[in-house]
Amino acid sequence: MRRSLVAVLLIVVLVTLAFAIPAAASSTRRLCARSVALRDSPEGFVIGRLYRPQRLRYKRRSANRRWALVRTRAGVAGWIPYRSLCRA
Amino acid sequence: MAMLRLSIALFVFALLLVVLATPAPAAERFAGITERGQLVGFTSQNPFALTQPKTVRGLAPGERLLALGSGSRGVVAVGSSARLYALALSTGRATAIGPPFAQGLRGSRFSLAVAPGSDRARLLSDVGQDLVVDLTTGVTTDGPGLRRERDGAPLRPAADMTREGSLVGVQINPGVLLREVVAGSTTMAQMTLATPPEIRLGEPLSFTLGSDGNGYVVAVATEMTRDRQSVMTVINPSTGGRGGVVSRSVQFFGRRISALTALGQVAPDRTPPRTRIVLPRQISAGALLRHRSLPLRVDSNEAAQVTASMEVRGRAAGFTFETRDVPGRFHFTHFAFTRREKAAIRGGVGARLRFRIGINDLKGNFRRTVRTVRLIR
Repeated sequence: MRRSLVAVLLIVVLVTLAFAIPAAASSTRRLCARSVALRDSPEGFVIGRLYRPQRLRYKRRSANRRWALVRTRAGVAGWIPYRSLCRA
Repeated sequence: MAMLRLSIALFVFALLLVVLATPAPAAERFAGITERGQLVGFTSQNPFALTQPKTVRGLAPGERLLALGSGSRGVVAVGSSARLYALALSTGRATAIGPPFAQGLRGSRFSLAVAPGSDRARLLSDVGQDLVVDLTTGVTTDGPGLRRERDGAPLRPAADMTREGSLVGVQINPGVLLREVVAGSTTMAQMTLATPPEIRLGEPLSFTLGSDGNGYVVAVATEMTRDRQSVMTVINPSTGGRGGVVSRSVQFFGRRISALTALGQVAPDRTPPRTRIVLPRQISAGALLRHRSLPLRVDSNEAAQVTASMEVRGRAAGFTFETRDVPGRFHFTHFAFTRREKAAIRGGVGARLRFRIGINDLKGNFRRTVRTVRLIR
């Protein structure tokens, strides 16, 4: 009984880990600024506007660490100032 | 008890029917002129997404279109040679109507105010030129000029004409809405215009009244890092307050628009873009890391954003995206890999590289495709 329980737990942990590895590249963050322009590159063209509160998939930061690459729930990607995101 | 269940089921069914039967809100369709003088089309659903820009043919050498209007004979335009043109939107062909205006043109920003179905227009400029234009013959007569009701001060709005024939216009910095007190009186009442607080607007300014009852103000966002982008704000033309859907009260163009006119309502776009994706069967890991560009090519029949996520052996190996405000080909250059992604690519030689490609037309329509290629040394 105990052995099968351990086996089930192990499978659950392994499956969770397997799915967690690709997702580790991005995390969910909230927008803290009232509104912010979503740009196609850091300091590039504005492609949309995001309003608080909005949950975003945070991908990574720019080389100068001022910009964050995010993706909206509608699937649109773009750069916003990193400081406009709420602290993780 | 059974009766209660039946009532609940019927209620849910009725609710579903109501939701499904409610028509999706229509979008306003526009024709616009870019700062390079090309003819584009877009809708209020997202003005960022333009149709393929067309070069206007039939103009004098070096001539540009300065103002657009929509009247009894379809879309008409005024060219920089002080001439009225009939404009065929499908072909981009301009046909001159009558001789050049005897008065010439004065100013740098013009608006052609036409009531829907009317054969007369008012051409107004930013330095106060006011011409009455006969859209059938192209003949112009001097207009009386516009005055503020309160103090008689001259006004120079970007304007359009209501169905009843009264002028409605806007000025920016400070933002004011101007409405003719009585149709044809040329005296205008002034109200505060709800401009977006977070964006400073600048010239060129244009204004059109939509068939949906909203007013559409297009101006350049001057405080952006790059000030070559126009924004569209939707206003209530009776009060000057915000109109339309609040979350869409400010929408960006990908470029500058110097003139526009509303063309009526269309059904909202609910279909994802049609695309053609080209990927080689195998990709060299070395070349990928060295050239920092993806050998991926996507052709789209609409303006869109294409995202590409790469995975190798279940590990994230890169993410990039490209955005175009017109239909065409997407290339993926200037790819920046993180250290972890580089390691995933180097360690994935011989494995399958999986591409998750998302194509979003920026109007809420999305298509996803998964492709795999072999990653070689």
